[in-house]
Amino acid sequence: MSMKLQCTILTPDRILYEGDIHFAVVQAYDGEAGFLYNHAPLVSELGIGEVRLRTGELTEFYTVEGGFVEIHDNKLVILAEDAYAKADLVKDEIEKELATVRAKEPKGYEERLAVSIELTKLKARLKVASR
Amino acid sequence: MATQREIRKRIKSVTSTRKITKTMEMVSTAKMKKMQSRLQMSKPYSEKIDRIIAHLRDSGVDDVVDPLLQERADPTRILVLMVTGNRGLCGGFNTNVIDNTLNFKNRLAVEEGKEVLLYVVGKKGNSYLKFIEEPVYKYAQNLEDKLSFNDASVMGSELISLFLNGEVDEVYLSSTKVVSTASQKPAIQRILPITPERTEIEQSVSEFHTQYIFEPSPYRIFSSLLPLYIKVKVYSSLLESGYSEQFARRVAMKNATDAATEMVRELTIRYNRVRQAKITNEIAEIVGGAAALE
Repeated sequence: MSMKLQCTILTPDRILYEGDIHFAVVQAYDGEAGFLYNHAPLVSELGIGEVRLRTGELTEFYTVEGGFVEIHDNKLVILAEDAYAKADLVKDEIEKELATVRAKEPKGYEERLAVSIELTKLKARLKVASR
Repeated sequence: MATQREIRKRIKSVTSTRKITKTMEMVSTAKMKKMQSRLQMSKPYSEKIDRIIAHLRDSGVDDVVDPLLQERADPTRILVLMVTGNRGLCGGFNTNVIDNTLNFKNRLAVEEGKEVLLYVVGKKGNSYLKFIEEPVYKYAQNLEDKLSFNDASVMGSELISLFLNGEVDEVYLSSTKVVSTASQKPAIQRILPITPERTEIEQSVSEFHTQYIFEPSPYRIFSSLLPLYIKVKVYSSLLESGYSEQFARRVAMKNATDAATEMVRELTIRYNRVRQAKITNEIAEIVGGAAALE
């Protein structure tokens, strides 16, 4: 019996990943969560961070930026608000963006919050890109 | 009767019109296919969201009093988001949506005395409302094929905050729904407050009744899922409307091309008749002239 999970990563505008994997690590709202074969049915909120999908010795990297993860019957569905594959991310571009966001001087609570969210997203992307 | 030259000129102009409509047909076919694939890409996402909502309800979160679900006792201010295209030449696509919206508005405004605000997406809707001097609450560009989920998400958050602030009591969405690949209809649906509707998926889920673990808690997930639900709804209706527009334009251009082909055929027949008549006339003249000489 193959102990594989059927994994799908979805964003509102595309299907980012579809395939069978052995082990998945997902950035949940309060830390990373790992999923193996025969996991109990679960729905969890996602945070901003990295997703690692392991098949045999091979690991693939993705970022997720909020959303939900659902596992049921060995089907893992990651519903991200936005997500990128490692191949789509270019390190230099992210570093440039990061610099412009860092240079911003936010005023008031809402702006500060928006900037800090943007920073977390960019840092997560950078981490994945430099994997 | 038109002279040979006049008819030839008309044939020429109709032929060139036909070329244009034919090209436009091909362009919108290509765009339509692109929209269709985007539509298909976005489908699994909204289905999964529906599923999760179903699971949540199943685990007894039905009684959650999220402000987005709460009906207002006496809704007086109503916002209608009307999605139209930026361009014409697409048959009844824009007029159908506009008529549908205005009928809806009049019914609410005249019969029930409510204040109806129109939030218009797309140039055509905006210019028509300006023309008939209907007030427009807000106007947004229809981004057509440049539309990303982010743009829809911004619009969705705007609607949500208008609703939560108490600016408006209900939000309706008036756009063209894709019933099947070959049939699109203008439709109006209420998106805020969210009406809990038991869908087919939900019923099938209830039968299995697996107990899910929810993290952090069903309530937290529910309240962060609902805004996403609205955004996805806005996004998919913008996509559907874009698809319908291209479809309508393709049909309109196909009809125009066919009509032009038919017209060229008729004109050619007429042209040949006139030419024949002229030749016959000339022969008759020559024969007549020869007879006079004898």
